Amino acid sequence: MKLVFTYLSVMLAVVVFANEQAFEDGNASYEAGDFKSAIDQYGIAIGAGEYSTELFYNLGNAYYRNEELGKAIWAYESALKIDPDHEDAIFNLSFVNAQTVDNIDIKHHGFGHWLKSLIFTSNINLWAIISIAGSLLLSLFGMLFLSANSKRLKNVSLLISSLTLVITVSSFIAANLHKSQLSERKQGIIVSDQVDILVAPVPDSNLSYKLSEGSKVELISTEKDWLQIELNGNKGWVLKSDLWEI
Amino acid sequence: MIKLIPILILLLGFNAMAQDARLQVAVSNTTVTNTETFQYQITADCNCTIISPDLSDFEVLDRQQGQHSSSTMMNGVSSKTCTTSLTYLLKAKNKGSFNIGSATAECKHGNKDSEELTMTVVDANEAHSANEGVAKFYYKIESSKSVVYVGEPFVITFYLYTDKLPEDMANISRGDAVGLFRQPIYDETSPDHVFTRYNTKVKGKVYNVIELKQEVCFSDRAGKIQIDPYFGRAVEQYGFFDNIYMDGYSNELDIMVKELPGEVPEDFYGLAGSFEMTSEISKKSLSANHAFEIKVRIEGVGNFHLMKDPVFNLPKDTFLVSGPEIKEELQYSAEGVNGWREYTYIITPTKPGDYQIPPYTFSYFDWKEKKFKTASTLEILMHIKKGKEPEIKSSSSGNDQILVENDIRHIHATGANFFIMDDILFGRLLFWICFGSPLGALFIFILLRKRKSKTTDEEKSKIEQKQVRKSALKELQKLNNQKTANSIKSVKTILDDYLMTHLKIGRSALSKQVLIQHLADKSIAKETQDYFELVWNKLEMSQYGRVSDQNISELINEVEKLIQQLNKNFK
Repeated sequence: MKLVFTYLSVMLAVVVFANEQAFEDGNASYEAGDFKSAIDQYGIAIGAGEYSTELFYNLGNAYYRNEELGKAIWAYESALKIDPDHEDAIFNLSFVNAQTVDNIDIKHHGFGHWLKSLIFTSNINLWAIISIAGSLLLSLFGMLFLSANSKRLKNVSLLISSLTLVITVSSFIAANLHKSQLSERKQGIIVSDQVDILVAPVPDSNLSYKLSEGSKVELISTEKDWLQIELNGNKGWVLKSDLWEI
Repeated sequence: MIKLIPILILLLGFNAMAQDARLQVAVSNTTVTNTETFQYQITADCNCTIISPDLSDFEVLDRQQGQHSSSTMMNGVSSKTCTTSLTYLLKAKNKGSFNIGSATAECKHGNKDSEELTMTVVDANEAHSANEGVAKFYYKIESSKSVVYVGEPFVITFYLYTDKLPEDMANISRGDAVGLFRQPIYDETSPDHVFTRYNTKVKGKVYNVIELKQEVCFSDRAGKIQIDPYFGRAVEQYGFFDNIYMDGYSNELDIMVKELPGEVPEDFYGLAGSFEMTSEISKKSLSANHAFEIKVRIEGVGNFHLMKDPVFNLPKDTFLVSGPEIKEELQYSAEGVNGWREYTYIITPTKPGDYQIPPYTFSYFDWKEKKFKTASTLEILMHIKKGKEPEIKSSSSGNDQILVENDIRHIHATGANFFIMDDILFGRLLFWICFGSPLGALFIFILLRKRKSKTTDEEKSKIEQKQVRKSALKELQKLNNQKTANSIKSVKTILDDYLMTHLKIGRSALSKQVLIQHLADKSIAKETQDYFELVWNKLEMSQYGRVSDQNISELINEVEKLIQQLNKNFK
């Protein structure tokens, strides 16, 4: 058993080290101007299921330098999915968006953005830990309230219990939203130039509308090689190869 | 038993039939025109996968998938059915006869192929002509002109010819036309709109003619423009269960669009009609870094939708131009688009000097006079005096510079905090244990409290007696070890508490006679009663005189023995 544990620990350390090495190699290739190699190196880390805001941000830069605007937008959007407040990713995304055909201006301010920044923090377990601490405090102060004989102690423990209940429920919801944000894929970016959006998932079907590289769409459903998408209320089908999910 | 075998075989046969894959195909109409859309639907069991036939002879305009579940009860036996359907909206590419091949349902218990369908596609205009003067109703589109110049307006009107007036209009949709800009002259969907109606005779038959839609159109290029049939759905009669509709497609139209005659001016970009342009400037003499306004107003009739914003050829290093702000008032009519559009620019000169703002010109084709004309603003002379340098202050640093970033920001070499999805604590077993345990403990605590609050007075009294029995003996033993001057008083208190609890009496009833009476009432043995009287007397005597440690110890032992005897009786 001890041997298995040691083996697993060593393997985990090797994998983490390998991914960090890929990140550093990617950075070195980028600095040397070899953007294709940088994309490959960053891709190794992402392929291993490792995620990081900086990894996607750097990948976005490499795609941009390699003149792949759609994929650059996808990488910046992926970075902002993990950390919606990443200032450099917001800047680079709007910079690259301005160079696309549709020149989509995406808002990264206002109450909605503030709420997102608050919930989707860089610490992926912050809200889960707060909800656990909240449940512990709620339990302690709840018991104190039930067993206290003094009226003052009863009032104080009731007030603290109520506050803790609000914090616990809020942090539980935030933890759930944060997990959904990181694990679910509800949007996508068009990565090919001038993509035909069809009315049905059949190659011969009629053209519904066209989308340019870098357009951000909502995903509705999937069928074999096709994805059903929606943009501003307009639905249509696109080949999976033309869209990268975020 | 033998008689039952044929029935059993019959039932098994029915069961096998019931398990057969169900597959049905249907079309909304087997004879359609080449401009008409129709539906092709495939229906199968939910647990089957539908493989569509080759539909390459048709244009696929839409595809919808749906499921339908139902349950029925017959003779006490309930059954459930679930069907999935795939509906295509198709349009024929050519005229003629076409086969729609078999659809296949791939099911767990085998595949099933549907029958093939044959579609007959006829020419829309021929079918439409055949209806005129014969059919009860038909739809028709007409154009005000069949030959026009590029940019010249013409009007398309959509009519319903019917021998019976409909109760309502449910749907009006226009056909496709490539290279045509169309704008409705009125909103026929508005609740206030009243449809124009009159009577006419077609091939001897009297029809009510209802004008359903009117659009002003402009062609952007020369050549033949095909306008596909319009579709109409009128409600002939609203029914209690179902409505009766008058559905149909109109004829299609071909419009010949001619190239513009003569030599095309350089600044012509497609405008046609009749336009007048005027301009206005707010100041002709001002200081540098002070703004002035130029307004350009274009009035007339024509294809305003093609109009580009005026551009003034100004030196970029001297004039900063912002705008234009556009205002317009346009009306769509059978003559085209009438009205005006006004462009306002705010211009800031940055250097002093005398400047000429060259006129802005554009050419358009006047379709009435059939020649090109040019509209132009006047040349403007500007005198810019010396003014103050622009002040651009940074609110944060006080540094008079604006940093304009013209490239993406650089990569981040450090600070990459990698994580994998399994690192997320929320939703894992460990999270539920950590989160749920304190809440579970609180829940159990509440339950126990609730249970405690439900105990009766008798039970409470018993619990109290039990506690006193235990504590009295313990405290006596403690007193025996630490003999002090107050020990006798403490022993008396312990005995008092014990008796008050077990005999359920108040402190005022703690007299020897009363206690003996209570003990007798509780059927305590006579020896114990006597022993109680003995110990009680000793205790009372000891309170009024000095008692040696040995005697205190003996007295405590006697009280302990008394309590033990009483315990046996009270149990």
